[in-house]
Amino acid sequence: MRKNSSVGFAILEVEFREPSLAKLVYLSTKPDELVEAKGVKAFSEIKDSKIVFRVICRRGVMSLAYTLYEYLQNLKLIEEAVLTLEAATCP
Amino acid sequence: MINQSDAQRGFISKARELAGRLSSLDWDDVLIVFHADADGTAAAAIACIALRDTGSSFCAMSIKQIDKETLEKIASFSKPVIFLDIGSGYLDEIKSVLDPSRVVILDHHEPEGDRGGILMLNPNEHGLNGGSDISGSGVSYLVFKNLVEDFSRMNELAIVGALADMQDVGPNRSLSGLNSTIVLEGEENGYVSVEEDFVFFGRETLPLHVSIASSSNFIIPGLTGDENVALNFLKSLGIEVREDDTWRTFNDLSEVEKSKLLTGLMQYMADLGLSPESVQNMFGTIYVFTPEPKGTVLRDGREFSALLNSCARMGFSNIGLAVAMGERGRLFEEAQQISKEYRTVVSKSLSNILSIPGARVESKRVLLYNGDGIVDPRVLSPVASIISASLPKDFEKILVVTASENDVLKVSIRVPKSLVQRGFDGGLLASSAARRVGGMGGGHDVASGAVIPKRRFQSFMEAVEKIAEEQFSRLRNT
Repeated sequence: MRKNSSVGFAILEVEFREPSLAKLVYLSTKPDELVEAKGVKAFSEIKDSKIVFRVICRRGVMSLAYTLYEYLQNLKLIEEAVLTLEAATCP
Repeated sequence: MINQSDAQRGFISKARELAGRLSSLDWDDVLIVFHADADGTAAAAIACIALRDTGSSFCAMSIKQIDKETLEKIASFSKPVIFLDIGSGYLDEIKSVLDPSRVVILDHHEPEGDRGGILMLNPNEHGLNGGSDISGSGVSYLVFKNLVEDFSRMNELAIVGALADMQDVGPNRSLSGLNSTIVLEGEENGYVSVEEDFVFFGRETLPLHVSIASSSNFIIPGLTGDENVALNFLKSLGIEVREDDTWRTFNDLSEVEKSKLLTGLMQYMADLGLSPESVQNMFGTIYVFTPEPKGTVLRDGREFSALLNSCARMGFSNIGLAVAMGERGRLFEEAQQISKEYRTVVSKSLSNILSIPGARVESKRVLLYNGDGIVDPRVLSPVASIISASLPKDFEKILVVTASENDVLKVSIRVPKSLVQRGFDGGLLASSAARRVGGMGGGHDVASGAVIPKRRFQSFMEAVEKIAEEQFSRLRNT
């Protein structure tokens, strides 16, 4: 028997070193929000150099935890990709 | 090639067979010799419960390692011996001192030597992995459950032992392999409830802030080790830490409060720029023993294993054994006191070794923390495990931590999982390097240890570097 219940809500703010980087990462993660698990609503917005990520999850706190974890993992991956591309294209 | 479920079925059937043979031997007075750690204690408690319930006489003794002196002491009892969670690595040594026809070994460590006439059950000989599929207490459980009618407590103890040996390597920190079969048996019989939640230490018993500050399976910079900072952090999130005059525990939190805490911790770690992987370690699978009273360390699998571990490390395996067998009252209180003291010793040793300049030496393949005179030898292994858990996921070096006890140097070795998956064997590294300097070593691929003469430390480290380099050159590509 695995316990699973209740509504969870989270707001996470991730700050980048400059607004342009935040915007690039934001635009790259945006399409992923369309793919949502049942009972999970997630959306993000950009505020200067910050991305604000909001999640409402009706599948228990652990589902919320994994959603946040996956989002952070995604952000990290995209940030690394953007920085690698920048380094490769800048003289 | 044997598939996993065939191997598991085969092993369970061998365990049943061995239980039958044990019964037929009709030994009426047995010496139980068990490894002085939490898994060994749980394994011994399982055996002792079975022997007690079947009316057999027995006595039990814990040992840290097997050497000539220990074996001679065991021989002096002139009784049949059942080794639990220890013995497989020393088959020749055991045979040289004890009558093999009066020896049984139930263990999950890698076997070494020729078993001769010894009756032995070891998962490594049956296509299973002794490091992750089943622990010493799991092996003991699969054998001794066949001798009794009620094995509910034994089932709990097999889970406790597996958690103590850090076999929660399945998805979301769950037990896998044969361990998951044991868990399922407990769930089906209503003794065990499996949940997903935060895995902070002391979720049943410790105040929230103490729980956050004491967790050792992951490090939250600033919060780990500092109860006051953790307390202020919880207050800043608007989480009530007390209810009337009582400190609240993790189990008292509502789902909304858990969401608040989760978000707060994730935000805190994101602000510090920590990798998402370090966040993931905060939650996972929880094993709750439903017959045990709420609010006690006995109800949560990891807390129970920590209690047995503290008793064993501090030299009080007998108290741990009594509690594991069901003893409460004064001995249970004593065990909890020992556990408190143990945490203080670990925390002191850890902060010393991390802060004293020169203790850390890093080479191409090895990260050494030389704890000679800094780390209490009783807590060397947990200190090594905590340092190992705090290293980045992509860190691919062998961690070696030392502590001295008189003229002897104790060594604890940890190997990153990524290297183990590609074939690196920490147990082999420990045994080979120790043998080259007149010491003894062994253990599992991911966690191993050695005992060497203190004066041979430099030569030992040279051997470690050389053997590690050889193993690195043979690693499989993934």
